[in-house]
Amino acid sequence: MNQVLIETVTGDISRGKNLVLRLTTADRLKQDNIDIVKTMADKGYRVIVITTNQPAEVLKKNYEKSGIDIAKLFFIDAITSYAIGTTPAAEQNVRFISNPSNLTDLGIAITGALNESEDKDPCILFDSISTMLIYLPSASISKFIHYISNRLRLIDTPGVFLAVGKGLDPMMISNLSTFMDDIILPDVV
Amino acid sequence: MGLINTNRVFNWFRDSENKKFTLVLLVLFCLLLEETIHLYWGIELAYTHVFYILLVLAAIWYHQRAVFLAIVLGVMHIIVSYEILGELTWPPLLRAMMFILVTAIVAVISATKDEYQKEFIQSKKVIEENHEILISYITECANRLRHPIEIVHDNLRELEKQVEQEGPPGDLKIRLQLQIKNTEQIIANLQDLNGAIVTDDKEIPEAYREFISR
Repeated sequence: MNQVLIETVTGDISRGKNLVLRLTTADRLKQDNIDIVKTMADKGYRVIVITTNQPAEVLKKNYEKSGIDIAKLFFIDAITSYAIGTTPAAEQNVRFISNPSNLTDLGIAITGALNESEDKDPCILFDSISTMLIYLPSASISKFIHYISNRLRLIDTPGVFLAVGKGLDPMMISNLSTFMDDIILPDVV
Repeated sequence: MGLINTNRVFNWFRDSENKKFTLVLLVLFCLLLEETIHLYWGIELAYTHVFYILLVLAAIWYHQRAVFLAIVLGVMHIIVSYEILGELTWPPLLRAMMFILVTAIVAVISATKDEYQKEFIQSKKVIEENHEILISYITECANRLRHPIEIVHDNLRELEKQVEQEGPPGDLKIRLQLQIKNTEQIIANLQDLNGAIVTDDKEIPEAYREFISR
């Protein structure tokens, strides 16, 4: 586990810096995701994992391997239906979105998940902003992240947003930084 | 030091109120010269050179409108000469005509120069705007093409490593399907780019569109 990253994230959240952008490297993205989810779940948060990168099925296996109790998690999976071409069978704790570019449904699903988890101390992990660039222009992504971050700020809920730092242009990072309370750079390992 | 002072004077004259103030002072000074040197002392040579300072500045700043001032000064000079001599002579007439001619020439040159300057600034602005648009466009292309390809590459590399170490995972099919979808989307993004180049997308300046599609 990346202790420095975990201490930085938990330190930020305990100081009220609820919205954190973690810029990582492609080879560390998966591990950073696991480390953050494990830490937040261990701290008693109900982690809402929004994935546009890996199917929820794959993430669940990764989490189980790392000893995370997946019953404490809720998944908003924007990639599986798109990848297999049909809507998968309904699963507990998973909400499938037809397409990662369907930001309306994604926004509704996030709001719904936050409302349902209101009394369960929710937090959000967004994996990842960089993958969304495959499906959407950077301006739309920035607007969407702005919307989500405002939503989280209003209900005082922590959110960690993952992105591969090398893949984002400086202007986009600069835009995103205005919505976030802290940015954790890739060299924090 | 000298340069700083010149710049300060130049900047002072950029203010239209300061220009008007300067011209009013010069007009008053010219009237004073006409009144004292010409009408009172009867000298009608040399002092009229001072008029050119007023007329040239007025022509530079107010272009053709300065010709009216030249006409007024010329007529005044002729009337004063007529008052003194009791007859209309050629020298004041010639001087008045020179006032008007010099003012008109400077006014035309100055107006043309200002027009070119305005066009130059406008075209510079357009070039800068186009350049900015192009940079944004290229950045967006890099965002939506280069980086997604890297993501697909990294995902496939990770899958390969996993297959090597642990054998084919149970979710191999869905992970491959995902990468196929990603590559399909990248191809669609590339087609969007081509479409933008081929069609009249105003986001790409014409010269750059021609350059990109070579």
